[in-house]
Amino acid sequence: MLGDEYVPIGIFALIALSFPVMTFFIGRFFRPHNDNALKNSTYECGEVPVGEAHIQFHFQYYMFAILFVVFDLVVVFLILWVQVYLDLAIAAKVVMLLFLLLTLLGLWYAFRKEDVIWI
Amino acid sequence: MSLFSFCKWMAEWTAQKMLIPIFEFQEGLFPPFTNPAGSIADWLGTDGGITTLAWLYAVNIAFAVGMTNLILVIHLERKIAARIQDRRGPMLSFRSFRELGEDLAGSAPSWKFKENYAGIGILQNLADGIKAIAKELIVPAKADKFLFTMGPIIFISSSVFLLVLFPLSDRFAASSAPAGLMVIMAAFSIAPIGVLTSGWASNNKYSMIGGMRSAAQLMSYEIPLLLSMAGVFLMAGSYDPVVIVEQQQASSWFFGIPIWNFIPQFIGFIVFMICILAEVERVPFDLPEAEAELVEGWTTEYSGIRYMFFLMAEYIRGFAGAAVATILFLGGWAGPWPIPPEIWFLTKVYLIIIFWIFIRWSVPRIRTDQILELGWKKLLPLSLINLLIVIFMVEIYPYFSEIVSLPEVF
Repeated sequence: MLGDEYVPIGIFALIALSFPVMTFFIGRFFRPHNDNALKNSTYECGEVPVGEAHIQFHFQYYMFAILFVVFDLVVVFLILWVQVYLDLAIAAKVVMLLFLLLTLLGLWYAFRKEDVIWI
Repeated sequence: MSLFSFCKWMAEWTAQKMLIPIFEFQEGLFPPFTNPAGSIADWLGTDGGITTLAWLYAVNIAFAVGMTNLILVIHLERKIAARIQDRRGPMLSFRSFRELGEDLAGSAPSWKFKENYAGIGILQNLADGIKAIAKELIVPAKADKFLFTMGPIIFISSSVFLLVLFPLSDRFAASSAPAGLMVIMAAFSIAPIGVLTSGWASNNKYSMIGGMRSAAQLMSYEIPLLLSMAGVFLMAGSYDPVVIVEQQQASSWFFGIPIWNFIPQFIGFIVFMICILAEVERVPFDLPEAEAELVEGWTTEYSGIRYMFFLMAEYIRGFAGAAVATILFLGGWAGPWPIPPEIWFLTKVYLIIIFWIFIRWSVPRIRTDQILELGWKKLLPLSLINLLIVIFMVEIYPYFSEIVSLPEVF
């Protein structure tokens, strides 16, 4: 059968998923459960907690996040390309290197503008 | 004899002697309730049933071996950390069970410190585990209950999943997937989602900042990590750990001595070691739980067994990261003959882990903007240079081997 080698990985994925779930469930019979309003409050180094943490977070590095999304895709292509590199024709090698060069040029341009965008 | 053939033999034996009679008895006992898809006893008699059972045994053996190694890694970390700080670390010995017995029997324990605390201290892990499972799990009132429970499950199960994915040698392998290293990297990169989830769900400012830092860290190291691995995949032409190790062992142009990948791809090796250190969140890169700045980072609101499992999962990730580094760059399980390959593999893995522990107590933590700078402006160009060097080497290799045609010395 195709993909026979992945059956143990599938079996262990189920075991790994059930490992924390079962341990948390079994631990229920060993641990105490004393609720208390003070205990359940948010921990802020002993002070009375101020406000919520579910806020609009100032995401300082969104510039890098955008570049990351682009480059993650480039790396996926590259990883697939290097596996078959030894069997490729010369045209396929050159085209992929040109593609990498173009994305790197884009990266260079983004970093030149980064000083303006970085907050 | 490989692990799988051993497990297959064991599966055949257990199926014939135990499981088939039990299921036949059970099916005879409750005829109306038999499985509509077919009898389990019949399925266990077929080849597919035996193979599935063998795989089940194999992953469980690999899991047990991984957990044993995990205990040793935690013990090593504690002992070496203690030695660096000029103290002794955990010293609990088996004799301390006597105190426990006296305590349980009701008599006053005779505290014999010199006898009871003169061991190697490996029992401290057991004591910590018992302590953690007996502690209360606190869910903050303001937390998002569902995500607060799901975050640890994502993080811990994806880390435990790593344990069977890498082979200890070509015979001791629970999974021999052709895309093994890609599966490992996929399992590695699930964890930041769990970190971000539990950091956000805690509704605590420290947790929130920790989760966001985890995302920033993911952005900075993931691409150099994969690019530094790309050079190794190019040399081997495969993602299979067995093929990669065989390729390193076969590249013996230097007087017949195998040249492991860390010599021709030295830049890639350095980049990979920095990035895998960021991936497993060990000390110079433990931004998500910076215990000096954020209280415990994204684990602030977690308690009891969940917190203990976070620590455990981090050590599993450390062990798996060192194993990946060994497979990719340090020749895997290859080594001189009289020592078995599994021992060679574990020796290399433990050397890397000891190196990491020394780093942990030697260097300060870096800042978020510094890790972004490091990842994008230094490691990314370096890993690309490494890839270009590898492409150059592969292109000239046929000519190179003709020019250098050295005699086989060994």
